[in-house]
Amino acid sequence: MALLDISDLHLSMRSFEGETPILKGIDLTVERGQIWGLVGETGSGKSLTGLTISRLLPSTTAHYTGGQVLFDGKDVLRASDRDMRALRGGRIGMIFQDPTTNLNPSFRIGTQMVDAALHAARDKPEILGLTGRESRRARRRTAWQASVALLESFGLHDAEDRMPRFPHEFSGGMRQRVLIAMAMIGQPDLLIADEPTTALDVSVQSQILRLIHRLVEERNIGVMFITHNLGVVAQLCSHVAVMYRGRIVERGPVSKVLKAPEHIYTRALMGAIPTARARMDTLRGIDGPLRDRIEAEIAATAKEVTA
Amino acid sequence: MSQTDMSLPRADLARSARAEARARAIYRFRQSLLSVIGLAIAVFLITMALLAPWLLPYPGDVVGAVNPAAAFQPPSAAHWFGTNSVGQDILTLVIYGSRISLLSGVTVILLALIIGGTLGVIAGWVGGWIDEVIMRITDLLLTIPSLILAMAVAAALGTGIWNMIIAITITWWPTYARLVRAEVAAKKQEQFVIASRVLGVGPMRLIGRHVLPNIVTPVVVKASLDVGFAILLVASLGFVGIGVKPPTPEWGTMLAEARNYMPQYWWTAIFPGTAIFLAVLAFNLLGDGLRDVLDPRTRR
Amino acid sequence: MSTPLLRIEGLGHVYGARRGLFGTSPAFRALTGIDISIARGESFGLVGESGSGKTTLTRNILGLERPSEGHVLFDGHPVIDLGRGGERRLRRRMQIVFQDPQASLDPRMTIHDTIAEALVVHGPDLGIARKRYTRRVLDLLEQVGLGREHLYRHPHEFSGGQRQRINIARALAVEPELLILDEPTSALDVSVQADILNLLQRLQKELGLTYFFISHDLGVIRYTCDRVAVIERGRIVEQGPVAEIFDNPSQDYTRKLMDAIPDPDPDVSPLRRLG
Repeated sequence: MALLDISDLHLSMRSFEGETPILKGIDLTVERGQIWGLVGETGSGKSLTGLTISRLLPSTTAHYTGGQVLFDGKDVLRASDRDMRALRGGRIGMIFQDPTTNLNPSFRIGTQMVDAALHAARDKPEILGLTGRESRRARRRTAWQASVALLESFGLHDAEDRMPRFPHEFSGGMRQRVLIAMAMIGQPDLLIADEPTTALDVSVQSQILRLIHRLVEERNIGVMFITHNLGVVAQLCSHVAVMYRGRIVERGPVSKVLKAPEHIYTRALMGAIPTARARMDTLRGIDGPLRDRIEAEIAATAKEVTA
Repeated sequence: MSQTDMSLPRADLARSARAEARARAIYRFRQSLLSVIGLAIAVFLITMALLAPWLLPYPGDVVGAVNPAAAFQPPSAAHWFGTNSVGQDILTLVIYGSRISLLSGVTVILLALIIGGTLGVIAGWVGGWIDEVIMRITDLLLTIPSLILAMAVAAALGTGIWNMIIAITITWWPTYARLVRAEVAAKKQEQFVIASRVLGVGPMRLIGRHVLPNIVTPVVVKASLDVGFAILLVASLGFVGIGVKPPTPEWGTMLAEARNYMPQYWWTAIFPGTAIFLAVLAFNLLGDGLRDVLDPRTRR
Repeated sequence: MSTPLLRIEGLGHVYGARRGLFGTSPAFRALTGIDISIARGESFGLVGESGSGKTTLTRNILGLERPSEGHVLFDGHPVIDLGRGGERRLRRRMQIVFQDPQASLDPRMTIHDTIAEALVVHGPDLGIARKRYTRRVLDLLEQVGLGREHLYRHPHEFSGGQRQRINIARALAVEPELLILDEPTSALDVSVQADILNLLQRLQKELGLTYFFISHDLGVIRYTCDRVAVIERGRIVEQGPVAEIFDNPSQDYTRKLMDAIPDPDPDVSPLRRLG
């Protein structure tokens, strides 16, 4: 059984204009040990796909009009809220773009880390080696020690001394390490990372990518890495799915898709990246005639599928 | 390029964009039933206050006519809300009282807005020691409870509607100074203000065209909520006897007087009380509704 | 040789120690000994990571901050203490496009009013009559690839790329000589980025603009700029022609920046080599 199996997922969002279809039939399978890069432009639906898996979209505006999302065989879209909470803490970890807003500025890093650990341990006591009969203090102490060990292993030196500090005393890269640690302390099977390095400097970015790569090697988890940066995908991911306006237009192993892209849109994206290693004569933007050709091609494929 | 291409876009393009924005605003406002109710009550009260002279069943009562023979009549066809201890028609007094309450409530907020807004803009925009001085005065005034200050002013200047308005305004403008200062200081650092500054736009235009229009939302929302509270405070002052004096009818004063005849002559209290309740509720609901409409963050 | 359009000499900036009620925040040195000289028509790049002093340098060039040491000279004249009229003349010759296209536009103003504001302020100097403003705004929009249907819309109705085009049009409205581009594409999708970069190149050629291009993306700098300076912790570590610096970096820091760029070719992935 696949770790994550999304089939024919349709999503609409409701607003002043009425219902707008956002995802128009997404199919994607993520196995353990795979790092899937989900790339696309703003508005392609890549972030909403990630949020759907942990069902974090507001039910007042988001309507799933078709398809299913199976996590380890369990239908996420029809699970109870209680089951989803357990799933989020313990089996699906998430990290987001902005490491500043995702930490509460008025609590110490250690407190937030320990709370995350104890939340995850409620359904999986074994991750902290607890039996459930310990005192509150003992549980917090164990969670504290586990947090320190994890942060140290994630390259945050002197974690013991840093735990009592507040988020603003950390750099962006350090905060993102903390968030990854908070997502990983429940030992999830799937990590969803939504643009986790976009707000970081390139040198810090490469450290974070190394860390995620190591996690997959050591723990054999599955990763869905949402990004707009094809360079990051080329470095980190084993597989890639290219999204365009609610559809996946091309997918496959990175070595194949990025070396020999088949879809016109993938080729257009590749041709739009300026490189520092050589001067390019022209960079090809997508707006204009190229955009029309992409739209035409996608419309033709969509018709083929329905026919 | 053809001749028609050279013509400028017609003004109806601008108009249709504005019409769409308005349609969106109305859509958001109507999303919330409560704010529509608030608006309806507020409009009703304001209309009543404006048309009061023509609506009064017993116009003589508002200038102090008494009719002891008709005292304490329960609600009836002749007196919908009954009569009070001196035989005045309570419906007449409540309708006329809306003028006093709404007028003083709105006036207080307008004055507070003008004084506090001006000082807030100066403090927030100029900064430095001027900011420091204005904000310390503000803090000082905020520590004085408005009811106590109103009593002091009444003691010094005598009672009366204008003295009451002045007293409440003195304690109220600092809240606007604070709000406006914080908003102006924040907007001053916004990229679009800096962009205009770099363009060479002068300070008056920066404030007038870029800063003020963008802080209208929180100010209008607060003002609308505050009108309700100001009406309540006016009524409270009337109730403790330092606001408007009889014979001028005022809801709080009516309530204070009615206290002596409870619970036997309940109608003397229930109708002015309901009027206060409705007015405060209306402006609160309206304020909440406006927040939903005007806040650009909810704009989609 | 003619005077450089922008000349920065020994610029240093220290944010003063502030004494507050609850203690003293120490002085912070943001820039040290910056020397940069940009010739007319040139495209000069500045690369550095967050906190390297890029923003402080920009604010000094714009005359929004007073340098602690050294000078910023625009066409041979200092950019501070100009008086009201002098400042307006400087603003007309030097403009900036910011990183966040949404935050740079007043959300309550139509595109027409936003761009026309530049004309209102500088109309007399530009020799444009008031009744020609709309015509001129339309020309500017067309120059950046937008059309008349966009004239009376508000910023929230546009995509990120379109918003950045509007910001560029506004900056161009005053016919500046120097355009400071402060990370103009880093909030945009790569596909849109390419269009904006191409637009900037075309405009430079057509209007003879001088660019001061700030970016953390070395690929963008390589594509757009002739010369580049690398800034680290408030100091320029090296500067020179882009090809020279990027192909043969003399400093460890520049080499580190080059190595950290994720290459879109999966074969050169260091992770894959490791794994």
